[in-house]
Amino acid sequence: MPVTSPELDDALRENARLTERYLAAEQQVSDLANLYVAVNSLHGATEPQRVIAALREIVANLVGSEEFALFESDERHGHIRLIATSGVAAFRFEAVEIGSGIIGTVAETGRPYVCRQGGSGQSGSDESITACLPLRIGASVTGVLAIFHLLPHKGVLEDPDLDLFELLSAHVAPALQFARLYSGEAV
Amino acid sequence: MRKKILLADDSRTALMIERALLVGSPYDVIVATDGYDAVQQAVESHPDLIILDVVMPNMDGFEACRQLRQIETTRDTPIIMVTTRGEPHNVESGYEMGCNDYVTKPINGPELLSKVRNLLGE
Repeated sequence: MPVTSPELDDALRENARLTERYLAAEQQVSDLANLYVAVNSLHGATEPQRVIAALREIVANLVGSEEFALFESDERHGHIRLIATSGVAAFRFEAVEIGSGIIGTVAETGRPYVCRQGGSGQSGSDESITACLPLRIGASVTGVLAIFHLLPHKGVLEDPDLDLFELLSAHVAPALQFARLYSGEAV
Repeated sequence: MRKKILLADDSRTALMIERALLVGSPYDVIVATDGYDAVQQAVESHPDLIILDVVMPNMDGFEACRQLRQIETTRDTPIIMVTTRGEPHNVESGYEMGCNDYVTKPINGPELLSKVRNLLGE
């Protein structure tokens, strides 16, 4: 026969509450670890190609996508220049005008575009974009990162993914700039 | 006595994430960066558990898992496969090669820790 008493009920409730808090803390540690790893990977690279390799690993291992395109703004000519792709064909982005389409609009406005359900449709199209992030150095938008389809098991974007996007928005361009200055190499 | 976990992944980022998750727990962590290295280190270091990425250079995780199951000293060592491919046939391939469990990338920290504790009997 089960033992019941107010004290036992209280103890069980307290145990459930502490378990819940422990799991929440573990999730928070995991989310913070992801942010730490992303910053460390980007700023640990001393050559532009290594920054892009780090970005590829971050997109695959932390965001859950194998497709992205990285652009730099060329305001003098009114377009943005593709500097790297992964998993999507480069020819799709030969001419991206500032202010045109999702990528060009993000370059112009500096406002991120996020589709929490993940992009769908033909790879490289506007419909296939999951997130399009302005890349900043200080207050200036110097480029754009477009992330396309999510991996099938990823499902949807969660709040920690949005934190990671903010971090990428703030750190990719400075990491690239530092790597260029340090190595003397262009992308 | 602290338990020892072998992490095998060619991605520096993935290794950093897994290390960051595990070092807060009472485990010693050793690292391999390809499948061949993982088999060697498992034989030499006798880890209590192995976390094995599928896509690695020189020898992939499936083959490393298969070989580890044929070696006397690692035959019963718990193996968690890590894969960016969560489709059922990929998961089945892992189990066919002898893994005990699997997680998909992006790694969910609490999920990985729960599976580690479960396989270590904690």
